[in-house]
Amino acid sequence: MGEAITLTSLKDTFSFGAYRAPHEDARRGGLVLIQEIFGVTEHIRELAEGFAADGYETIAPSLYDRQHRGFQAGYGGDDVAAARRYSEAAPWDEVAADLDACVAALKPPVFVVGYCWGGAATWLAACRCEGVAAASSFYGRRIPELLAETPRCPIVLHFGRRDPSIPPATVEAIADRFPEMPIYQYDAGHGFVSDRRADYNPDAAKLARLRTLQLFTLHGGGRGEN
Amino acid sequence: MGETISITSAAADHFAFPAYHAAPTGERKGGVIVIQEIFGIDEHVRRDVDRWASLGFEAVAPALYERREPGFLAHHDEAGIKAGVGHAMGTPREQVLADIAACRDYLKGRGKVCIVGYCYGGSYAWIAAGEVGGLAAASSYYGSMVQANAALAPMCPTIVHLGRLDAGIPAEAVKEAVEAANPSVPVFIYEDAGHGFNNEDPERHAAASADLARQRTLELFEKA
Repeated sequence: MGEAITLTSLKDTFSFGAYRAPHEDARRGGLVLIQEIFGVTEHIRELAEGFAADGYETIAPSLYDRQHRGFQAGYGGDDVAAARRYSEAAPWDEVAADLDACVAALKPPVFVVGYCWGGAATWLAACRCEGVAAASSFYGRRIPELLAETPRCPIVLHFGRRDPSIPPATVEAIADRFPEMPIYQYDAGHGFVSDRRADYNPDAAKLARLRTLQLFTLHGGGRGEN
Repeated sequence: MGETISITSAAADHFAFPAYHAAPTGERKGGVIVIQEIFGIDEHVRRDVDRWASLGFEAVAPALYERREPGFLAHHDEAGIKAGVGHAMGTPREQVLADIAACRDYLKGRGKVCIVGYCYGGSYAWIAAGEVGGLAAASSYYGSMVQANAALAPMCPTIVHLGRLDAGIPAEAVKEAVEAANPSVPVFIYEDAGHGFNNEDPERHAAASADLARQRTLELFEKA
């Protein structure tokens, strides 16, 4: 089981909360797991526990703490509106500094994975954070905002072909700019990893998770070495 | 020459942290809290504490990373910076301010308490001026987090020192941000100085600027 920890941004000294799930068995590395728009929910904590079981010491930061400490949304109504507002209002500069603090809190190799809003934040971390070994980004609708920046570590992207918020043109624009980058597309909608959502697709989720673990293993996450 | 003392934090954990302390030479003018750079309570910080003592102040420098790594010291190299930055990111703001408040309480029975800080400590000297009550004056040297906290209103007379050649801190932008929110706060920019110019590491030290900044700080603390 995980625990609540506190980390501090070196942009402004703001201290924010995070959920830390210690690795089980031998340590493969550290992992920063970035939330959907809904905050660090039970679902996000379960994902963190899942990677911890695979040997990754996992930290899931509460990236809305400047706006609303410990925010967790349900998946309907006013909560979703608030979640969307918080995600839109969080400046990428602040998010990047918070992610820096997460990376610095983990012994190398450090990996990043993120979903939905966190998928775009994963791209951000790959571009800006020092010391990321590899990153896996799930359906980041806002990656185009950050497309002028270049990832400094290996990154793979996952998208659902039937995701109404991410049209094919968006995926094509990323592929045009980075022709070598692995971009995996699944016969699925938005948020297909989350079993709390209507678009949950267990097969796609399993395959994407496997690809993520393979990427991490390939870039330093060998069992028992770290 | 000073010695290491123990001070109990005002934070909820009541952690007893070490602090380098030096008694004043001659008539006691007041107390000074010296806030460290990211490198720990190293020879530069201790020398600074000793110097404030020689100028007539009882000076104390709390070891802010003690909970994470007892006795932490780092060199001014890549590994040292990485370790120091890691500790800075793992040390909560509220905890730092509570440790500073404990130093204030340690000193306050014997007169006024001022605060000076460098680099990481420059940021916290600024933030403490705005958030920790009971301080008589504050002097903030080249803190990279001052800009993001420029809107804080200092509760005591405060001055800010920046090096024009500091690669990590845009001096002019910080000055503008501070002056926009706090027009009464003097922000001094030192033309020949880079980051860490008060530090006697030969690669950082800018002696004339360091002397001038210290003179300004001394006058502020004496008048406070």
